[in-house]
Amino acid sequence: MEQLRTLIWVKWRILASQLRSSRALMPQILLWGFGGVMALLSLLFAAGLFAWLYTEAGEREPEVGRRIVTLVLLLVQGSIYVVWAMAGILPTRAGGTFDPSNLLHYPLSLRRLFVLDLSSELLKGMTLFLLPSIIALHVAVPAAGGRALWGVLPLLCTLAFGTLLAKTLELLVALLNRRGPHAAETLVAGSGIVLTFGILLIAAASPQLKFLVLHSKGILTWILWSTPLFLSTDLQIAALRGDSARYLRSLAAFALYVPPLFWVCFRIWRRLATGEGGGKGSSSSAALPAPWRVPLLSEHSAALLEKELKYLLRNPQVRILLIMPATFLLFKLGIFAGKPPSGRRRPVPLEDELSWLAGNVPPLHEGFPIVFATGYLLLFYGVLFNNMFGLDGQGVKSYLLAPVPRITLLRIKNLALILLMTMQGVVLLGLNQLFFKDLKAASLVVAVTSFASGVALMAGSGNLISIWFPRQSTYGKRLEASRWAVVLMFVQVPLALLPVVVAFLLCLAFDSVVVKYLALVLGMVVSWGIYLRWLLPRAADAMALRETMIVETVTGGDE
Amino acid sequence: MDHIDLDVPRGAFFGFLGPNGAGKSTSIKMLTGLLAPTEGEIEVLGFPLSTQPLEVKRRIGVVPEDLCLFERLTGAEFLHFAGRMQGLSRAEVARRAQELLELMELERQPRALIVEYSHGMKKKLSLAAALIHSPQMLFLDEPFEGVDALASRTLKDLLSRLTARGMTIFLTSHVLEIVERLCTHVAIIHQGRIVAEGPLDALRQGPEGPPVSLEAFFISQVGGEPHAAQALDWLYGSAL
Repeated sequence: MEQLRTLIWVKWRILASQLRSSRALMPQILLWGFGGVMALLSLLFAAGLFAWLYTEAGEREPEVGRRIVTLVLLLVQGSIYVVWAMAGILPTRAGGTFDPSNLLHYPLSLRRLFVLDLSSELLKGMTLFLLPSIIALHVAVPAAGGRALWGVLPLLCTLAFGTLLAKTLELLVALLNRRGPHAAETLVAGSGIVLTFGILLIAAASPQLKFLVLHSKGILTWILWSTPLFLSTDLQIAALRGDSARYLRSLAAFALYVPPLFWVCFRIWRRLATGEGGGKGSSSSAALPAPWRVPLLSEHSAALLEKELKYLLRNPQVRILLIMPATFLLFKLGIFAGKPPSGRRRPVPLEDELSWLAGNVPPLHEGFPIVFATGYLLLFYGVLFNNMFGLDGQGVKSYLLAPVPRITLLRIKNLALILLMTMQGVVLLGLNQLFFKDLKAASLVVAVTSFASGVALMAGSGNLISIWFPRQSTYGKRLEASRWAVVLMFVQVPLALLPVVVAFLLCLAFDSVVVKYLALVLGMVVSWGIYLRWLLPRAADAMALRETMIVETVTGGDE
Repeated sequence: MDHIDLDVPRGAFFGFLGPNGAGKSTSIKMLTGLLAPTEGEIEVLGFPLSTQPLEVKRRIGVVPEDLCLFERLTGAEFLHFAGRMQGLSRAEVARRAQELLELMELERQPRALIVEYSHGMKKKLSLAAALIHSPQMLFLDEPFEGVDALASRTLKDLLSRLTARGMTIFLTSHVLEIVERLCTHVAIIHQGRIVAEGPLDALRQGPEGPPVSLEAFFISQVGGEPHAAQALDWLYGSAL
C-alpha cells in the first residue's frame, strides 16, 4: 500500500510541476478548464437525466424517449472515452512524463510493478477529472430506474476498461517514441486528424448516424452494439429498464474486453520498462539525399528554405494545422450538403438563410465571406510567425553562428511559411470547387488579394513581436501558448485584414465594384511595401541586436 | 566573468580549464557571439566580434556544450544546411558531408533524425558541422563528453592533424589527461578570473624541482581540497 501511495504521489507531483510551468498555459487550460467543464456538465447531465427519467417524462412517448436516452448516453460515454484515451497521448514535455523503467531498480516484481502503476493511473491527471462524471453517470441512470446498485458492476468495468485503454495508448506512444519520436508524433498527429475529421463528419452526417444507430438491422448493428462504448451504454439502459437478461449479457460481453486489453497493456508496459524492441531504424547504408536546388535562390537561401520546409512539415502540430482549415469545408458540407435519410427533419438553424446568401450575394459584397476563410487561415498560421524560433530548439544557435545577413534568415523563414499557407489555400479552394462549384472569379480575386496583403502584414508583425518580445511571444517547440501570444493573434489578424476591410468600405461608400478591386490591389501593394521596406528591415535590425536574448529564451527553459 | 584578458596564439591547441561553474562555457559563448559581454572587446582572427561578427563566423567552427543541432533533420541534412550556410556549393557540401559522416561513423542510419541519435553521435555530428567549411579556428566545448573510446581516439587524431596543419583550436574539457596530451597552451579560469595562462610545458615546470602533472598544477591553482567525509556513519556501517 505504501508503494501504491508513493506512486500516486510521484504522478501527482509530475502533473503539478507541469501545471506550474509558466509555458504550460494551454495544457493548463485544457486540463483544468476542459476537465472541469466536462466533470461539471456530466454531473449536471446526470442530475438532469435522473430527474427526467425519475418523473417518467419519457413514458409519454416511450419509443422517442428510448431513442433519445440511447443517443444521449452514447454521446456522453463516447466523449468520456475519447477524452480519457486522448489524455494519455496528447503531446507533453518529455521530461514531465512518467517512465516505468525508472522503477525497475526497486525490489518489486514486474507484475506487481505493473499492477501498482496501473492502479495509480486512476488518480492521475485527466482520469481524476473524469471520475466524478463517470461515477455520477453510473449512479444516476440506474437510480432513476430504482436500481442504484445495478450501476456498481458497470462502473467497475468502465473504470477498468477506460484506464487500460488510456494506459495502453499512452504506452504505445511512449514505445514508438523510443523507437523514434517521428513515429510517435506521427501517430499523435494522425489521431488528432482522424479525431477532428471523425467528429466533424459525424456532426455533418448526424441524421444518417441517428438512423444507423436506431433503425438499421443486421450484422452492422450487431457489430456496433458489440463494441465497448455501445455495450456500456446498453448496460445503462438495461439497468434503467430493469432488464436483467440484457444486463447480464452486456455485462459479460463488456467484461470480456478487459482481460485481453490487460494482457496487451502489460506486454507493451513490460517491453517499455525492460527496454525490449528499442532498435533504432535500419542499419542499411543508403545514398545520402542531395541538397535541394532552388532556382533563383542563393546557396544560403536554398539551404534555409530546405531546412524550414522540412522542419515545418515534420512538426506534428504543424501537420495538424495543415488539416485544420479543412474544417471550414466540413462545416460548409454539414450545413449545405447534409440530407436527411427520411426527409422528415427540422432544418439546420440558418440553413435557409445561408443557402440564400450563397446564391444571392450582391456584386458589391462579392467575395466578402472568403475574407473570413483568409482570416481563419491567418489565425492558424500566425502562431508560427509569432513563434519564429520556437520550433528550432537548440538549433537556433546555428542561425547565429551562420555568416548570413539576418534579413535573409527572416525573409526565407517567412517565405517557407507563406509557401505552406499558399499551398494550403490552393488545396482549400480546389476542394471547395470540387464539392460546391461556387467559386466565382470575383471571389478568387478577393481571396488572392486578401491573402497576399494579410500574409505580408502578419509575417512582418509576427517577426517584430517575436524578436522584440521573445520571452512573451515564444510558444516553444511544441507550440504551447504562453501569455500574450494568444491575445495578440486576435489583434494581429484583424489588423492584417484591415486593407481588405477598407477596400469593402470604399466600395460601399462609392457604390462601385471597380473601386473595390482597385482598393484591394492597392492594399496588397501597400501591405507588401510596408513589409519589405519597413517591417522586415526593422525586424532584421532588431534581431541583430537581440539575437543572444533570443537564443537564451528559446534554449533556456526548453526540453 | 570578471575582466578576463586572454591571448590565444595562432595555430595553438589551447586548453581552457576550470572547475564546474568557473565560466568556461560562458567564455566560449562570448567568444563565438552566442552571448554578449557587458563590457570589453573580443577579437577573433583579427576581426572585432562586435563590429564584424559575420567575418568572424565565416572563419570559425563551433561545438557548443549543449550543441546547436536542428533535431528534426537527418545528420546529412544538417551537414548540408551547415555547409551551405557557410557558402559552400551544393556539390561540394554533398561530397564533404558524405566524407565527414563516414569519418564520424554516422553514415549507417541515413534516415534517422538527429533527435534519435545518442549524445555521443550528436557530439560527433556537431563537430562534423563545425568542420565542414574548413574553419581557421575551432571552438570546442567539452567535445569528448559522452563520446565512446573509439570515436574519442578518432577525434583526438583528427584534432592533432588539424593543429599540425595550422588550425587554431580552443578547447574546454574536464578530462585533464586529454588536455595534457593534446594542448600546447593552457589557461585556467577560476571563479570568473584567469588564474594561470601560458604554454603547457612552462606552466607544468615549477620554479624548482621536476615538472608536475597538469592535474597537480590545476589543483594547486584552483585551491581544491578533498572534502572531509563527515557523518554518513550509517553508510560506512552498511558497507562493512
